Amino acid sequence: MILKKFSILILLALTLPAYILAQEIPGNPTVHGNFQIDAQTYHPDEALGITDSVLQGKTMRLNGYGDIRFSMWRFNAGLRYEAYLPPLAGYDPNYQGQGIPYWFVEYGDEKLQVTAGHFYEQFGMGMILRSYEQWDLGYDNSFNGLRVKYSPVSGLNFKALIGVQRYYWEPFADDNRGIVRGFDGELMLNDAFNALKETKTRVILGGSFVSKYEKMRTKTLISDTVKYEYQLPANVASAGGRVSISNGGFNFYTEYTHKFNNPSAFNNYIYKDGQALLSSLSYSQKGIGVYIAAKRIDNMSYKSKMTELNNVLDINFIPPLTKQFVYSLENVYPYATQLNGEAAIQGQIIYTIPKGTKLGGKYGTKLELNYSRVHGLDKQAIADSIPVDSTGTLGYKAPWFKFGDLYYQSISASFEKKIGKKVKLNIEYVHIDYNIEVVEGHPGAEMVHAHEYNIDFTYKLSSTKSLRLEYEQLLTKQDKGDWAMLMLEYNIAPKWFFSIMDQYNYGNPEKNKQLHYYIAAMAFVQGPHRISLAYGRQREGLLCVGGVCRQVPASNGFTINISTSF
Amino acid sequence: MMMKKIARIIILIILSAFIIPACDIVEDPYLMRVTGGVVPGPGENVRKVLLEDYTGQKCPNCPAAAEEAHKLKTIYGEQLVLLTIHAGNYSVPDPSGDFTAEYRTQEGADLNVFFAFPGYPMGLVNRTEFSGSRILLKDSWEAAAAIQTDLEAQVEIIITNTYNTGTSKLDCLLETEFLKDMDGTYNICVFIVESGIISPQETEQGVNLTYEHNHVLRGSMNGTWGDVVGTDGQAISGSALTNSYSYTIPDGWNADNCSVVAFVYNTTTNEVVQAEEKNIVE
Repeated sequence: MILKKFSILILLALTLPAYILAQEIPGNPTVHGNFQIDAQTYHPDEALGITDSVLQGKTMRLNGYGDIRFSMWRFNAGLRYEAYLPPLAGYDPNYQGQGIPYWFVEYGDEKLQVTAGHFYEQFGMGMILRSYEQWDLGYDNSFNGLRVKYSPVSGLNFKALIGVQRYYWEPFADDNRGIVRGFDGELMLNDAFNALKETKTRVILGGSFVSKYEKMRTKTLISDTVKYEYQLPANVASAGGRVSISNGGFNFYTEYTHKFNNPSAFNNYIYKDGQALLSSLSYSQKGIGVYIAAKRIDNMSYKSKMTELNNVLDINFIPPLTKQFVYSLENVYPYATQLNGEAAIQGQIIYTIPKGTKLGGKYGTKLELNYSRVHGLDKQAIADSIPVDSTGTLGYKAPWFKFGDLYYQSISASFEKKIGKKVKLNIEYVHIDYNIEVVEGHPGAEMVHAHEYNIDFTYKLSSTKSLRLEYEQLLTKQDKGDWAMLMLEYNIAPKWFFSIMDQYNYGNPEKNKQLHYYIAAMAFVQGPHRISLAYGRQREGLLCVGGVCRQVPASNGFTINISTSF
Repeated sequence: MMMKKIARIIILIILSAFIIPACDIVEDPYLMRVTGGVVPGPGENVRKVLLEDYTGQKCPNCPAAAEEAHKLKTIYGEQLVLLTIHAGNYSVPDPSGDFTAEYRTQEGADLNVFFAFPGYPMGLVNRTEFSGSRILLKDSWEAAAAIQTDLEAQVEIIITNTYNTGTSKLDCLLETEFLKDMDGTYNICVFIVESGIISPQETEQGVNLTYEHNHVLRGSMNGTWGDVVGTDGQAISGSALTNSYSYTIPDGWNADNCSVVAFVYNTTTNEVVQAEEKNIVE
């Protein structure tokens, strides 16, 4: 009912600008929006194991949204309509349906801003609180409630929020999930104190406190014919602090979050406190960028529903320290953050050999090196008689500087060079060690060691036409074996795009699975409008963005994507 | 200026006071042993589960099942309502000898035929399937009860007994409230059970002449299958429905050891959604 009323208000607001413009009332009213429709047909494909009974008659699926924002004077409003009819394969089927899951009204000036309705928010890097929306993942953990941002003096900012998180299409009722409350303060020393205004070293301090209230249902455990009841905390809090120091090209950032006892389905109802520490140091100046970072997280899943296991209702977000690769076969083995515990390091160097030097040539040469390594924690039993991760206990001990099994390692090197006016070349090598048993949950599966080579060659035929050839090869003795990929792309800028691609799993140890995954695609672009069509096979695998992943099943069919914005 | 700053600081302190206490620290032990079942807090309801033990005085294996039921009763306390139903061949009394007592009832005989027990002892836990079967050997009762007792309470039953010791007349008022909307129609059964009856029982070791029979179904105030809850058996959230009955406790029954067992079940699935027990004499 309330939603309906607000929808009417917002629609009224959207029709106002024309009237206001006609009246020439100041306030600079603007309306922006964007729309996207992703639809796919699904055909039986015996080789992929897709039969009519798998499809269950759902041979056409669609995800789509329309997002509209209105602003005038100190007032903002917006809404997003979404439809999953039914959701594309690989998206959570609970999203099936359509409606307006997101709307808000906002008012504010430089000092104070108040938001009512749905909003996205992040404290620091998000290790204590982050809500965001990622269309490709089908991920949305927006808050529905109230938020206040307050800046009493220059350089000092506060945020306070209260709300419930999106849970598919389910309205908040009967305590079906928790209520999240958060507070964040940030002090920019150089802006707050006149004496530091001119100082080259910039320092920002931040602190946050977040708490979840959830009505606890009785949960019991029968052990040796004795019934036990879990003592569950209705209020689960976490607190964190952060420091950012920068000087010239250097930037140091560190953030620590402590989460108090949070027994949940995700951690098998253990009562250990959670901890997360992330530190990074970077340096950049023209032509060179260096980044090193380290992270340790322990028992850091933090959801606003104790029993939830799906990718929903996360209060926080743990940033990944693994490189987000671009090329297709590099993403056969993507890393998913292990929220129950991991320790990671990452180092990255980007260097551009200057123009006019022997190695740099006429246009310069870009080199990039990246190294990432992730281990599990060294979990030890809290007592001889209590196995690690035992429910209803503190779970385990994990010494700070001891690490468990290797979860993931990648070493990558890339070389990008423009040769003459017409040719651009990008060569990349990646080595990945991938603990498929942990990351994808395949018990007993062997660690995957993979080498991946890419050659990306672009030839400019004219000022508007270009041809791009991409060859990728993945070599591994484990899992599905070797892959090769060839893609040819023809661009007629700025309107047309055509491509054909084949991914071939020629090294699959099962002969009948040595399949070709071919796709032919085209796109038409006109200003903000984009229509693309594709036909072919999609290989199964994980799709990850920022360490958050969803499983994509194999499919065969036509795809159409339409998007526009104004 | 100074006042303004102080006012701001006060506002911030007040604001943070709303958030900082929002943390519950649980100290060890994290698991509390539950004796006597889960005790509902004020205004709360728990799921109470009906365990029916089909037995007979001449059944040598049956005392082990009664022991199992008793053990579960010590774990779950008031959350478990026991009903011992004497039915089948082992319950037929002899004209003379040790087993002359009559514990059979019309209701027990009806239920025995309806559920078609292949042997004795057998049990029903909320008349709900567990691992593919509704009829359960005693070894499955504990696991089935664990599942059923963890379910959310959907119905609340309040029994009010008024017993006249002079006339042995029992007036029983049942107030039933559905805590959520549910499909189907629901009946309420109101049985009378008696405990502490001393009479012979066949056991694996021979006849026990001073065996204590507990939770024995003695009769029903509204037949084998009960009556619709309220006037139409519809489960509408928040509706408080009443049923009332009268019954004269026959001579030979010890009213001090008798109690009323009431349970609400779905008339299509026969699954019991809530049970309650109240002594006749408080």
